[in-house]
Amino acid sequence: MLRYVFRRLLMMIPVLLGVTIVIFTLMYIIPGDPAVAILGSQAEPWEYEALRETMGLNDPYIVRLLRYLAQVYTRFDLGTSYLSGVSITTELAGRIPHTLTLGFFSVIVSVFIGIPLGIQAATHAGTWRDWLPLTISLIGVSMPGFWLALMLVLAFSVKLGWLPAYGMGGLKYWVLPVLSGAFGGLANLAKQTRSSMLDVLYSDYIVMARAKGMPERDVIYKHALPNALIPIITIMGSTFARMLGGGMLTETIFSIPGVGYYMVKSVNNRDYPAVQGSVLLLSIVFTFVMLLTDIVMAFVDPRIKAQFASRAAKDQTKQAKPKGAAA
Amino acid sequence: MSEDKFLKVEDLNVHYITTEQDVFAVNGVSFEMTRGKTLGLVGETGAGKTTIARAILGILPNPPAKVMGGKIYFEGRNIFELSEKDMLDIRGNKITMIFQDSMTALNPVITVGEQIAEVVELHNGGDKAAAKQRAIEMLETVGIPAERYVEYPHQFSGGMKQRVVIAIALACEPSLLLADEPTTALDVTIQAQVLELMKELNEKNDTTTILITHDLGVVAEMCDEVAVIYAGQIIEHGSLEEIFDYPMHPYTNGLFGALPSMKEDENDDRLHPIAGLPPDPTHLPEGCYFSPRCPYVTEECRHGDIPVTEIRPGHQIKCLHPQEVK
Repeated sequence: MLRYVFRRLLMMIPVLLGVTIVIFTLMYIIPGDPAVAILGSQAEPWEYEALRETMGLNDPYIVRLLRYLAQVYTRFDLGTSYLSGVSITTELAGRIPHTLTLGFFSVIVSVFIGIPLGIQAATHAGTWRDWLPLTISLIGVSMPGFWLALMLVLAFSVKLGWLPAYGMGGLKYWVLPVLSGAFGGLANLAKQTRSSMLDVLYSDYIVMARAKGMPERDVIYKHALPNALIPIITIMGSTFARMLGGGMLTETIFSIPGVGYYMVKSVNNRDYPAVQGSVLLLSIVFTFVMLLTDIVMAFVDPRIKAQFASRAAKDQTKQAKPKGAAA
Repeated sequence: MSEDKFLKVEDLNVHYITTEQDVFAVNGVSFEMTRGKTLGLVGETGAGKTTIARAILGILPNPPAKVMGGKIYFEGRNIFELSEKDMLDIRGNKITMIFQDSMTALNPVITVGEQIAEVVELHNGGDKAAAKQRAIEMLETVGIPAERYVEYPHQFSGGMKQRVVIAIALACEPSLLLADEPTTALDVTIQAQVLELMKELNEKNDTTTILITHDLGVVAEMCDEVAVIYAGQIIEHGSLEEIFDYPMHPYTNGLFGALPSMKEDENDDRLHPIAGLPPDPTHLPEGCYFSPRCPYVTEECRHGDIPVTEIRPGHQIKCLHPQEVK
């Protein structure tokens, strides 16, 4: 298992390198001039030219790419913002906690509501306790998150005045962002939980558990749920990933100073290093979440764990062979 | 409670009800069993054998299955009138079941040992240590080394899984064992082992067994009594010797006729399948359910209810034209 985790960590290196190259290239080919963004449209042509020269924007693509890669991976420096001149690493370090908090609590809320909702839909298939959550999920899946966010603001901040519409502060500032972030994921989870529970509930080992004289509650939570969890965990991972990407909209609407909000601002300002840095950071978080998902799955399902084990064993015999041949 | 009333099934009717159609799975099944005997329920796939067993254990999937009528007395009590709590106490403890498909009957994410210990713990008042001890004991009884307690079902072969399923069924020393095709999924060599094991344990614990199978060889090996099921009805019921030596129902005769024989027969070197197919359980024929396939059918077979008659002592048959083939 440890070997597997280590291998997966190593595999992250080419992935992140690839992401860095792709995002750099994209930023390189999109039209727009950072010099114009910085100096405004009223400056003299030679001023633009001088700025481009000092920023190294006139160098060929490959030189700029290699320079950026070297800067990121040897000095762990994401560069400085074109606009504010502040180090992007510092900027992001202050913002990532907000994004992670939003993502984390959104996932928690969607898990703790979505999974029980899906379970009861599956165990009461065909009754109102099934179709009510299903209808809610359908609405949740179909509704764009930002629209829901705006509606929530309209209802709870503007009309009722119960909760703040934007900004940072105490716990109550998080309620609306987390709710609007969680709803889509919640709906997805409920749907996935329902269908994978239905698959499992009709399998022989569930009948077997009942035949043992086990109370239905235990049958569902001890026997059915662990087997239904595999696809649910996958969804949970991708829900969290979606929170990171979709967090952009939620953060913008609620003015949360997170990475997504920063990224949107930077894109508007053609602040290339800031965009690149933000995307890179989110990719790192994303790959870690995926790794975590796989590890959790291995703990839930011994068959997946066994695959890792057998792969590790195979590697060991591979390594052992040449030694044996030499002897 | 008299001995002969150990298990009594009276006019059991089970239907599977869906919005599209009703499946008539079990249609008026009655039989009695005395303690310590083994009854073979024989019939084709889909004849309702498994449904009968699941009805006795009270684990029919509801919906769609629904008990439409009948009573099942177990140790003198009608199990349909028992509370769910009382049934939980009986299930896995006094009445247990060996499942047909051992490949899917074990939970893939729980260790084999825990799956045995679990049933013990449910019925010994929650004593974990004792349950584990018992589970290890059961593993060894079915010939699996105790150190494999912590392994998962995917690490076991088919035969070993089936033995685990048997260990689960026998861990609480049930008084009634429902064995649903316990050997069908197994290789012949392992089949013999498993049957031997079941026989041994049953004799030791004086367990009453209902053995569901379509393998007449297994029946001959294991059973005291035989009931032949066709389209959810018992069409012939008697002691093993009666049924095997004097089969009277045309369907039972057909079953024996469909067996390959090792005896040299001058002009009989082919198998004799029963013509036609079992009736569609959503649209059962009127009168005798076997009438469309029966070579001896007459007009009266096609109307009304066919009575059960005792044709010889301890040999009941649901047929108007019993045939003696010798």
